[in-house]
Amino acid sequence: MTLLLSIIIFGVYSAALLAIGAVGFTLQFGVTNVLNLAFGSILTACIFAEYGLTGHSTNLWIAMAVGAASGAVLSLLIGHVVVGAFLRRGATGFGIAMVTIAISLMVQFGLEAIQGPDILSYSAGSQATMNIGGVVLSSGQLTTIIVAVLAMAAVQVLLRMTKFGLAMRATAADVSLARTCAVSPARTRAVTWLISGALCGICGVLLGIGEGSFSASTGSDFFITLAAAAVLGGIGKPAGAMIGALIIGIVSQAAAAVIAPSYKTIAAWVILIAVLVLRPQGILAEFAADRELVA
Amino acid sequence: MTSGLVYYLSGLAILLGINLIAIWGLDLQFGLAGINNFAYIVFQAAGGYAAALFALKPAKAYGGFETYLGGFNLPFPLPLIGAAAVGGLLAVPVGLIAIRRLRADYQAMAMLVLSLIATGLAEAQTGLVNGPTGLALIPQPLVGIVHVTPLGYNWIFLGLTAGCCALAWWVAHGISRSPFGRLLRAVRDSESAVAALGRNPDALRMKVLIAGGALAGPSGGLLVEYVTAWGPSSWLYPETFLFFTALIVGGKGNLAGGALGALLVPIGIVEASRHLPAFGYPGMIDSLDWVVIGACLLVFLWFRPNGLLPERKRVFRAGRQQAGGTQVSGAFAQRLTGSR
Amino acid sequence: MTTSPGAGHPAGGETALAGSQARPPLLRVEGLACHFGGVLAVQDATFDVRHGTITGLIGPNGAGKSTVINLISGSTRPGQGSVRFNGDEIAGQRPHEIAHRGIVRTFQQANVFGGLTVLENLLVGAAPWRGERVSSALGRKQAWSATQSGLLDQAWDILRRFGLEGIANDYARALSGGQRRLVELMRALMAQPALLLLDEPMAGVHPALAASIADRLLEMRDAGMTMLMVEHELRLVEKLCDPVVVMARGTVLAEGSMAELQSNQEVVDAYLGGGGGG
Repeated sequence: MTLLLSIIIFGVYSAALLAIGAVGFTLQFGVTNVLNLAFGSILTACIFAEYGLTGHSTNLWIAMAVGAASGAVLSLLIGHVVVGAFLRRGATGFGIAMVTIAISLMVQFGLEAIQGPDILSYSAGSQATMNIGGVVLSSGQLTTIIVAVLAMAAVQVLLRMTKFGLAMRATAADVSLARTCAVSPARTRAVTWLISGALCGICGVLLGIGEGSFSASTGSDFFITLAAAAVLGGIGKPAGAMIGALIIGIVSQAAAAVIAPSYKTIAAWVILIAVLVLRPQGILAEFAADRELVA
Repeated sequence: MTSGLVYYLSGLAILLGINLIAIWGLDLQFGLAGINNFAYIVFQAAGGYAAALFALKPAKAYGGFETYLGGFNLPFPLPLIGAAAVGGLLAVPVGLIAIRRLRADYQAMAMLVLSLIATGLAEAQTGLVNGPTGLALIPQPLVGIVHVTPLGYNWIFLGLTAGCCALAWWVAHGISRSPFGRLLRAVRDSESAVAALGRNPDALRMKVLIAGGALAGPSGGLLVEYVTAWGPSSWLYPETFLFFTALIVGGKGNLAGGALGALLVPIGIVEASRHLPAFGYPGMIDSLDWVVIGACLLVFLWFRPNGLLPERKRVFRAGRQQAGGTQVSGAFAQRLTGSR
Repeated sequence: MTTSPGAGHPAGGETALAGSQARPPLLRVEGLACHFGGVLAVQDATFDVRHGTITGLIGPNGAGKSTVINLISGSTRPGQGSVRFNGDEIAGQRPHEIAHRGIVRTFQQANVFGGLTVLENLLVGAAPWRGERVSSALGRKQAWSATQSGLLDQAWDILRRFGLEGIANDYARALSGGQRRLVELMRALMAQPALLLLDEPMAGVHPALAASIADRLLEMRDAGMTMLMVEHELRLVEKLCDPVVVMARGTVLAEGSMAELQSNQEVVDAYLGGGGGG
């Protein structure tokens, strides 16, 4: 019974952590139509930046804010400036994928060159814990769940009740339609890169705290699991990313408990492959036809 | 020329040959047929493991400090042939996933995930190939038979590598200039038009995946037999992009471009950096190599995406003028005349 | 058919007409239907394509004409109905299998191989041949080079007929839209199909070029090729097509010559007179 409870609780925690990043990733794909394979390296860079700026900070919320800020800036630089330049030149899906791979190599290994392959320990905020029916959650993990819920709510408010949110949804649905909106498509895309970068940064900081450590490869390992959540739920739909995160969070936790800890990530990756093979548009299929996901 | 330098150069030539075979294999899949095989390193790794498991004795014979499947202790050249077979066979399950009506970047991501799953499984299931530690003491071809100095052995190995390069060239060149190669390039441009002309695009792509895999395999086999050790850390997912960068820098869709890319990227960048005065921590230069590789990729994608030696245009000069009607050939013609 | 003594021209003509009527159609579409996510794009389409004709397929936008072409060529799977080619059922088969039987199609957006030269495009157009196998690629060049030379001669011949030898060695992606359409057409000609499906071959094409393409199509018909052509430009349909099949709202309204159709009230209301598509 404790095992089941533990799977569910840690599954929810994993889901929360994944959801923050997955929503950022999927939001950015929905609006810009770019499969950003450099997302993981941005995540790593945010942890490094935060650690570099504040070290083992005492306040988790400050750490997250710093992470969000660095993520927003990096994402804007990489996404809007660099990838955007290629897009404006007419680069297509695969070409863009190669560009994002090139960027991720430079960022990840640049960080490794600076830091070395060592793993750095990382913590922020209080070290208190909480006991739920025999399962022990750290305050960082609990905060992750709270932040995830807040972030999801904030994203929904943004999308449904603000001018920018409307522009983002319009651009995601049909770029030519979006031109009739008050906000220009270019600015909508720029803001989207900022927001997805901020979510990426928050996710990174919480990931670092949850693991207790990080290294240059942390983000890229986590990225595929995060992408799995987004793709499973239906890429381009934030609600889908949340559903996908929940499913993957619990399933991978169960795999870790039942098979072996190293299967936690393998399970998520197998789910991603299964989705891409069987139903690439994901659960909340919406963009399959327009985005020509299935050619 | 000191003997040390000669020894070094001979080793470099061997590595050049090994990379050449791998790059030509990827060129068939990516350059000719347009398959974004982001899992290519797994083909080379599979070939390497196959060669190792065929050449090694059973695990217990070494005192059991490693655990792995197989260990058939086969003599040269069987492990290499096995590597080619395994590389080609791996194309079948990978192809079933890769050959789908998926958007190009989505498909690339799927292949990337396959690569990660492969590394993950190799590390997690220690009984397969000895987990993260990897395999060591892999027997080298002809070692028991010829007794030469290390330099002499390098020359023998270089000869072996050169022979495999010649075979790889025969396969790659043959495919590239043939009608089959033309069909691959057509599939690259429009699979719907290929199907509308009576050819099966999926079958064509599967065939080229197998051909490329059959080249990647021996490349891995040679590498493993040269280095005598092989573990997951040698074939992480970024290695695939080493080959992709070589093709994008050197030029895809032609063997000369691939050769130039092999010289410049895996040999040029990686080897040149070995001669820099050591600075930073050990391994820092390796990380910087990857930064340079990523930068080269980005720069070439922007300025010269077709590479230094782009794919040549295949030109056919005008033939003789036919006096009467043209000769009608092919099965369609029979339908035509039969329906009148 | 009995021969009556002193049979004059009318009887002879009747005999000829009866003869071709008695022959089964090259393509018979019956009850063809398909949905796209709840919308019935085509329902109960039934018509014939007879040997040696250019059969037109006309109708307002959204009538389902291109969908019918996709259903026949296999690009779209039919939900119901049958497509018989030379008596064989082909509905539900995959595009390359259907093409292999002798049905070649062109696309609404000119679908050429951009990274191949015009000559190479035409070479791929030829019917599948043994030299295209992997085994031939790995074997001696002499095994396939002779056949390829023959195909090249054919390709050059076609290029000369169209007056396009000048672009023979240009990459198809460097061509204009009109030239690409011609390349697609020449490529189909290389295939020498028994049935050619043309999906709006003149769309967006300069009127002078369209007239010249129309002449080529008539030549091909006279040489024995059968065609099914979707077209909006009614003057071209009048010039080229007999018979003509009219579709509207996913179903076939009528089939006949343009003259017959123009006197068919239903057709006029749906399309010809009262501001249908164009």
